[in-house]
This record gives sequence, C-alpha cells and structure tokens, in this order.
Amino acid sequence: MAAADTNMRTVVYDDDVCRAFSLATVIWGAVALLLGVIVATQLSHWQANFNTSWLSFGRLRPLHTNAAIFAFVGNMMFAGIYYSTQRLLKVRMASDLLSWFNFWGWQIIIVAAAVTLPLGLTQGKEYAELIWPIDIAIAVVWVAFAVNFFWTLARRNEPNLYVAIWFYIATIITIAVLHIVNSLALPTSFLHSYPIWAGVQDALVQWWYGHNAVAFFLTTPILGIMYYYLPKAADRPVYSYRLSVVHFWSLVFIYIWAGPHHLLYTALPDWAQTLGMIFSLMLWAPSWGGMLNGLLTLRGAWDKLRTDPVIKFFIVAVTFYGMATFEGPLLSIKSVSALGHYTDWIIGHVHGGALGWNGFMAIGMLYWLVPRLWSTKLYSNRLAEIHFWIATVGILMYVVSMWVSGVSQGLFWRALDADGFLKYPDFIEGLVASKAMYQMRLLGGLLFFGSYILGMVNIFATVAKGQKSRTEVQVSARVNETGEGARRLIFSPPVLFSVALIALMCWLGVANLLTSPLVLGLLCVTVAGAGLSFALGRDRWARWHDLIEQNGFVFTVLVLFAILIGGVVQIIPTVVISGKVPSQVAAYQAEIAQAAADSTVIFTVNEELAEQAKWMQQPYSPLELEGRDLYIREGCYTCHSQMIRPLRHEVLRYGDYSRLEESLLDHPFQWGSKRTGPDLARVGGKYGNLWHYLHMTDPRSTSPASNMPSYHWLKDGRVDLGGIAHKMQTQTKLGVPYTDADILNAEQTARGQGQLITDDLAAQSVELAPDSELAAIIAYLQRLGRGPQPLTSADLAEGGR
Amino acid sequence: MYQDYFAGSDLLVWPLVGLMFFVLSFLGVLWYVLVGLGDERKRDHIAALPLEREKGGSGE
Ligand code: HEC
Repeated sequence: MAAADTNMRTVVYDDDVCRAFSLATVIWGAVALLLGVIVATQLSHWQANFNTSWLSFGRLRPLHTNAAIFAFVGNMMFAGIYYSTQRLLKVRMASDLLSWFNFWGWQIIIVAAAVTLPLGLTQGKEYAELIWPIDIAIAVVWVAFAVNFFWTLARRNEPNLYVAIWFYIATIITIAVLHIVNSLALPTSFLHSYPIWAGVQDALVQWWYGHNAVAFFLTTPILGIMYYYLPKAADRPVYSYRLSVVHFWSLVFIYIWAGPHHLLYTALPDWAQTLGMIFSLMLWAPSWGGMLNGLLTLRGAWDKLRTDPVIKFFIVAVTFYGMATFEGPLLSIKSVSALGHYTDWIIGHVHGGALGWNGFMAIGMLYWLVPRLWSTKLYSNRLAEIHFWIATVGILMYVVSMWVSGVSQGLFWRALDADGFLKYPDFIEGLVASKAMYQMRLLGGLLFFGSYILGMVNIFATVAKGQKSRTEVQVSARVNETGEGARRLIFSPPVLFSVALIALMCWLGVANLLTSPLVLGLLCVTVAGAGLSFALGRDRWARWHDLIEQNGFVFTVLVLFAILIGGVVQIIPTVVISGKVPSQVAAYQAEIAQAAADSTVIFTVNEELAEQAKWMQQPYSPLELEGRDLYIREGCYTCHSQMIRPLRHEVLRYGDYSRLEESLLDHPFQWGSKRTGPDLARVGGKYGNLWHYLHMTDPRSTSPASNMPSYHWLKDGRVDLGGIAHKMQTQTKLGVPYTDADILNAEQTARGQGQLITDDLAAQSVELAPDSELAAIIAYLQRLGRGPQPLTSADLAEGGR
Repeated sequence: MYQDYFAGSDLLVWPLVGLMFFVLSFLGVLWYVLVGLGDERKRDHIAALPLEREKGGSGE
C-alpha cells in the first residue's frame, strides 16, 4: 500500500467550536426549562406573572418555545453536527471563521429573542414570532452554517456519505426554505411588520412551516445525531443500514406534506386537509422503522443498558420518538383531531417529543461528548443515573397529566344533554376541572428541571477536571469532486427517462381532451423505451446511485426537490385560489350594484359568489387594526383560538362555524392552536364595553376561576393614533382594500371610535382615555365575527355604518 | 369523492402530479436500497464509518 501512504494527510479536528456549542446547550437548556416551569405555574396560579406585562403568559410562552427549540435543541444540534461531520467526512470544518460566526451569531440571536419577546415585539406566528430584523439575522447565520457545511463536504476525504450526513443536508436546506417563505413580510417600522400572507394562506404557510420545523429542526438533525452517536455509544454499527436509507428518504418525502393536519376541520379547503391526514398516517411507517433501527442497534449489547447512563438516555429518547410518532398520526385522524385539537393533549404530545425525544437525546449526547471533548471521564455516573430516573418520572407525570386533562377537556366541550344541547355551557368549568392536572404537570416539569440541574453540575464538574482535547488523525486524501460525476449522472438513462416521464405527467396535468391521447401515447412510448434501454444496457442503469451517493451536490438537489414538491403543490393552489376570492367577490358586488341602478342590465345570481360575498371580510377600522396589533403583542393567541369548527358542539357554544372568507384580510391570521380560554371568533357583541373593561383589567371580577392575566397596563398605555395611517398604507400594499380617504382620515376616525367606546363607559361611571390601548383592544374584540361597527355618534344613531 | 376535492380549480391537478412524482421517486429509493446497496462489503463499510478510531483526545 505504498502508493496510498504517500497520499496520507494529517487532519486536526476543530473541537473548540464543539465545546462552545456544548456549553451553550447546557446553559440555554436550563433557561428554556425554567421558563417552562414559570409558564406552567402561571396556568395553575395566575399570580405567578406578578402582574407584570413582560412576565405575562402570552409573552413568556413564545419565549419558552423559542428557547426550547432554537436555543436548547439548536445549540445541541450544532454541537452534534460539527463534531460528527468532521469525523464522518475525515476533514476539519472548512472555515473556522464561519464556524465561530455561526456560534456567536446564534447566541446573539437568542439574546435578542430573550429581550424582544417579553417586550411584546412579535410577529404573532407560532414558533416564528421573532421580528423581521432578527429573522434576517437568522437567515444570514444559517447561510454561513450552510456554506461552511457544504464547503467541508466538497473537501472531504471520505468518498461515501454516511446516512447522518444525509440527515444534516436535509436539515440545512429545508430549514432555509421554510424560514424564508414563512417570514416574508412587509415592515412598517424597524420593530414591526405584516406578513405578506393573509388568512387561510397564512394558516397553510404557517403550519407548513410549523410542522416542518418539528420535522427538520427537531427530528432530522436529531436522527442524524442518533445514527452517529448511538452506534458510537453501543460500539457497534447501526442495526440495518438499508433501513436507515429508507427511513431517510421516506421521512424527507412524506413529512413535508403533513402540515395541514394542524388545520383539520378549519376553513382550509377539504382536499388539503385530506392530503395532510393521509400523509400523516403514512409517516407512521418510516418513523417506526427508524425507532426499531435505533433500538435494535443495541442487539447483543443490552447489558450496557444497565451500566451506561448514555445508553439509558438514548434508549428512552428513541422510545419517546416512537411514542410521539405514533401519537402524531393518530391525532391527524380527523375524528381524533376533533377531540384532541385545542386541548392539553397536544401540549402533552409536544412535550413527549421535546423533553422525551429531543431532551433525552441532548442529555445522552452531552454525557457522551463532554468527557471526550475534555479528555476525561464523566464526573459521576451515579449522579447521571439519579438524573435519569428523576427526569423519567418527571416526563411521565407531565405527559400523563396533559393526556388526562386534554382528553377530559375534549369530552367536556363536546358533551351534550338528552335534548342535544351543551351539557356544560360555561367554559370555565372545564378549566376548574383541569386544575389538579395542571398542578401535576407543574410537579412533573419541576422534577425534570431539578434533575437537569444535577446534570449541569455533573457536566461542569467534568469540564473542571478535564483538559481540552486535541484530535489529530491520519487520513488518506481523496481527489476532489470534479464535474465529471455529475455530468455522467445527469446523462444516465434512469435520470433522462425520469425527467421525460415527469415532464409528460406535468403535460398531462394541463392537457385538454384533444392533446391528452397524444400525451398518453408519448407516455407509453417512453415507458417502453425505458424498458428496452434497461434490457439492452443494464450496467448503465446500475451505476447511477453510486454517482448520487458520492456526489454531494446532486444529492442536495434531489433532497431539495423532494421537500419542495409537497409544499408547492399544497401552497400554490391555496394561495392562488384564495387570493382571487376578494376581487371576484368585489366584481360580483359591482355587478349587483349595476343591475340595481340600471334595469336593462341582465343579472344572473351566482350562488357560490353570493355565499362568498355574504361572508367576505371587510377591512378593520383604524382603531380595530391597532387593537388587533395589541392582541398580537400580548400573545392572546397562546390561549384563544379564532376558528369555530363545523362541529355541533362548537357551533352551539361559539356560533356559526368560521368561513374561509372571514379572515382573508388578516395579516397575520390568528386562528390559534390552543384553547385555554374560549374561542373568540364571534365574541363581538356578546358582552358590553363595560364587561370587557372589567374583564380585561381584572378577569377574576367577571369570572372568579379564570387564569387569564390582568391586563391593567392597557389602561395606561397609549396608542400612536398618528401612526395608524402608515400601517394601513402597508396593508393596502398587501391587498387590503383601504381607500385613500380611509387612510387620510385614519387618525380622526380612530379618535372618534375611541371616544364612542369611552363615552359608553363614562355613562357607566368608568373613566378611560379614547386613545388608550384598552379602548383599541375593546374595539377589536367587539368587531370579531361582525361587519363594520359604528365609528361616530351619527353611525350609532343610525344603528350601523 | 375525488371529484369533490378537485372540481374547484384546474390547479388542483398538481397535487396529483406531485403524488405520482412521489411514487416514482419512492420506487427509485427502493431500487437503490435493494440493488445499489446489494453489495454487503460496501454496506458494511459505510455503516462502520462512525466507528473508526481516532488518535489524540481521549480517542474513542
Ligand atoms: C393564560 C391564558 C389566557 C390569556 C393569555 C388570555 N386569556 Fe382571555 N381568557 C382566558 C380564560 C381562561 C378565559 C375564560 C374565563 C374568563 O372569562 O376570564 C378567557 C376569556 C376571555 C374573554 C371572554 C370570552 C367569552 O366568550 O366569555 C375574552 C374576550 C378574552 N379572554 C380576551 C383576551 C384577550 C384580548 C387577551 C390578550 C390581551 C387574552 N384574553 C389573553 C385565558 C386567557
């Protein structure tokens, strides 16, 4: 092997950046968990917000979720990826500068999130709350990470790409696509923007993003980590490499279609709901394949499960992966979703994934990684053992309590008496019944958090007694990729025939009665040609996957294709079709007006358009728009939905079900995903202004058992009435039909409407300033589910606008 | 049933095309796994990549 020896090269891995990310993981994990404990306390004891705006539930809950996902799992993912990628590719990361830019950039983003979210600076879209300048920073840091990664890939010394690397590639490109599409927004100022999507479009894009953030931020990178670290810890290769390949491709293909399962029974078109449900059910198979692959990797090493804490954490993590991916498809079945959606069941499901799967994987990985990065042994195996048991008990308490309270909420909301009416019409009764479970959840969370602190002590003690590792290896250098492989691949028969088939299928999609026989004929010819080519030259057909496997670029393009397809075919039709509704309705209404004015015009009733026109949303008044922005600032959507499903009990409780047309102008949509409080889609007119004043300033005054925060600061807060016109202008750019006069008179109109509300309150001996934030939020709440409201006392006298 | 979902607009044929594409690609994946990874030596080599020992550090 003399020839090979001359090709040997020394590689020193960059372990510094892995150490930095590992420590960041440990610290941010504690912060995320502590925030979780605080918000859990607030749900059982509302006083835990100390009556302070920036500690209130609606603002801290997004901070908790963002910290858990992006700070804790994010840093863990970077630590795991940087360490394993260098070793699997047998090369140092291409650029230390980019690695450190990634590290510091990410930490600065987390700190910015921790400052802005409690201040109420938010975009109001779940798991994408951060304001637009931070969104841009995320994109920049992510691109730096991607460049570093792909550059490293190109310089690798190992020709074959292990499956973990595939999972990392899928993560990097999918998160980039999701983040950019979901964050598209038009700024109104440095701190505020409106998303370009509205209503049902925004809902679909948001849950395409939200669901796939779970898939590609919390699942694929962690699976890559599992496929690297579990074999390491067990000291044997993964059970079936073939299965891992199937696991990868089926996850990447199927996950991206499943987003609409968050929107079952909503105003999303039926076909999209059905696709979402079917693909969610299909996900069950690859997920369990992956779980079994992980568990069976331990075959013949089960004794380690008794002695090695790392293996213990990994095995419980993989088991939770299996449980969560069983529960997910189950919850996507429409009838199960009807029961479970909006309840605590979903919260339990999420924590099975976040604490059980991600949390345990992270801890297992750190217990394995930190001793190696500091060239020592774990400070105390016994302490890790104690950590393991307390955490396991904690998470079980958490999941069980949320399951019990979730299912009982679902049953409670839908219970009907013998005459077919609601058995429990008062929403608050359900909350009162959940109280014991909320306390049990809190205890479970506290146990998990407490055990985590033990883990921190263990890790810091390990770091203290060790010294930084320096890893140097001898590898045989590999000749760099040339364009040759890619060219051979592109012109190989399987690829050419696939492209032809896809093109013909697309053509078939748009063909008419005349052309479709022709296209069908061509399809038959192509298939026959493929068969012939295969029979004549099998070896030319057999080499293509070697080429893909060893060519990072081609592989990446394929993954990009796979993830785009499911998103594109769901989102584009919805965006286009729903985008046309407002102008179609407007044209129809103009037609009606013309026919009314001119009796010679022949007018035919179009029932579908007439129905759409009946439900079509009218723009908010300036003050209502401002109130809506405050609703978003306070994170009311973390407890309230605005989407009544077409189920008998919902219609009985909240009024007629929500139509797609009713939120087509909402930037962003506020359908919500959780009902700690009742749905608000039709709360307008349900109560008087005074009731809202009393309820918002002290919910216990109208509803003694409520856990809603007291929003007394809205009384003193002032709305910048002069600034509304600019916001309305931005909205017109996004297609909201405000007229020039609307915008010109915005300030005056807003003041008038505020005055109307405060006059009404004054008549009932309550003082409130017309430009107070509370007046704006009352205006918004009173508008929900109704058409335009009186803006002046003249309107009021006429009984409308 | 099919007609109900897809009657609304011409665009709704694209999810169907997407589905066909999905099935096609899946056949490709199966082929890769059964034929491309048929060589056991190659499979074992790739699967063992994480297990390679290193010098330096505590060396795992
Ligand atoms: C911690 C969860 C929580 C948050 C955050 C929250 N609410 Fe509530 N909300 C509730 C609960 C629980 C109820 C039912 C008991 C009651 O009336 O207070 C409720 C009731 C309401 C009602 C009465 C609904 C009805 O039909 O009776 C309105 C209106 C309301 N909330 C508005 C808001 C607004 C506006 C915000 C944001 C500024 C907000 N809520 C934030 C939990 C919350």
